[in-house]
Amino acid sequence: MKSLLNYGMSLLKENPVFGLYLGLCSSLAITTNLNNAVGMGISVLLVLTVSNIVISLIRKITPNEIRIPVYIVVIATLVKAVELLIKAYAPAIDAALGVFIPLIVVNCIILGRAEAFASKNGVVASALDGLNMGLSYTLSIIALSLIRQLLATGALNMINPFNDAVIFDIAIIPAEFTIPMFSSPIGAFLTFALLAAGVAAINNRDQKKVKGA
Amino acid sequence: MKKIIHLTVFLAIISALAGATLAFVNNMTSPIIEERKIAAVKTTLEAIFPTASEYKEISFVDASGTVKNAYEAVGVGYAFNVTVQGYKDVITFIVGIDGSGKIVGFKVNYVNDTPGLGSKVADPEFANSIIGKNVGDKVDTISGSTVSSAAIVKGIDAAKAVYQSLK
Repeated sequence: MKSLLNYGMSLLKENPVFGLYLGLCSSLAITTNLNNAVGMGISVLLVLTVSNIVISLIRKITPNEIRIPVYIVVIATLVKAVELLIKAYAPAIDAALGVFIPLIVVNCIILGRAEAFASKNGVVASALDGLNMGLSYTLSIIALSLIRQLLATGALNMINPFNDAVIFDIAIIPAEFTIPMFSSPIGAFLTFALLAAGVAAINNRDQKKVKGA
Repeated sequence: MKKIIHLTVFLAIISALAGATLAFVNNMTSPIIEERKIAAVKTTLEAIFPTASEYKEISFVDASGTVKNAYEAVGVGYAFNVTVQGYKDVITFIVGIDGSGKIVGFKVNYVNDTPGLGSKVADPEFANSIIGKNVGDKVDTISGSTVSSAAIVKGIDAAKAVYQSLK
């Protein structure tokens, strides 16, 4: 239990979205509903883990001078492959996420982890780092999308992207009390600011504790 | 000099491997993606013209450039895939006109305008206000979503013009 709690805290502290402010463009743009967030999160998780593995595998033979172009080639290839697979097998996600799937290439989380971690560490550690960072990205955008979808539409729903079957659909807030603004960019910024402030508050409190002791 | 060659060769090998990987994935997925594209239109066509046994894409002339594809539901009518400029993004829709000149189907396939305002053009109310009208009738716009619905009305007019030229 304690290790689970510690893991939860590290998710908060080293959170790529709310802690390091990486990959914000897509996080803000696609979090209008839960489906998009899960689709985007899993795509990033996949690309991040595989790119970390590949980059870690070739880290010893990659010449230092051209490491960034090599990473970009690896990442772009993976993203394009994921894009084609999504187009073929999950057209609902393709329709909803559109241009943001190709834009995973320039998501700083992926190049950031390649440069900061995978290029210096072994394959297993890099794969775990990719999974960990991807998971924490996914959870962050799910949190954003839960708040935005709930406030903007009053309902939460989830659709299986492979066959369009509804997994669940619950109406929580009556239609008269919804705030449609939360599905537009301004709602994204507000929600993001509130969550980021919350994460910062928790981190600060912990730091004070350490200083006091 | 040796260094430069090393770097060049390394990057070339990496790029070649990347290209091979993508060619493989593309080979695997492109038939499925093509199928999905046709299937998406076919369900809509079947919904508009349930009695037709055969659907085929036909060639046409469109002066406005908004009608992208025309389909014939053999013996029943025509359907047009139209793309117009909405408020902040394009809107694509399919409109079906039967042999007697009556609009029998209308379905918005893509709209990215303001949710709650421009997005109203995809609501059933708007489709119901269009379906049943004749080619000569005027289609009303929606208040609150003037730009998006006016764009669609323009697109329907273009589809009507193509329909007249096909008859």
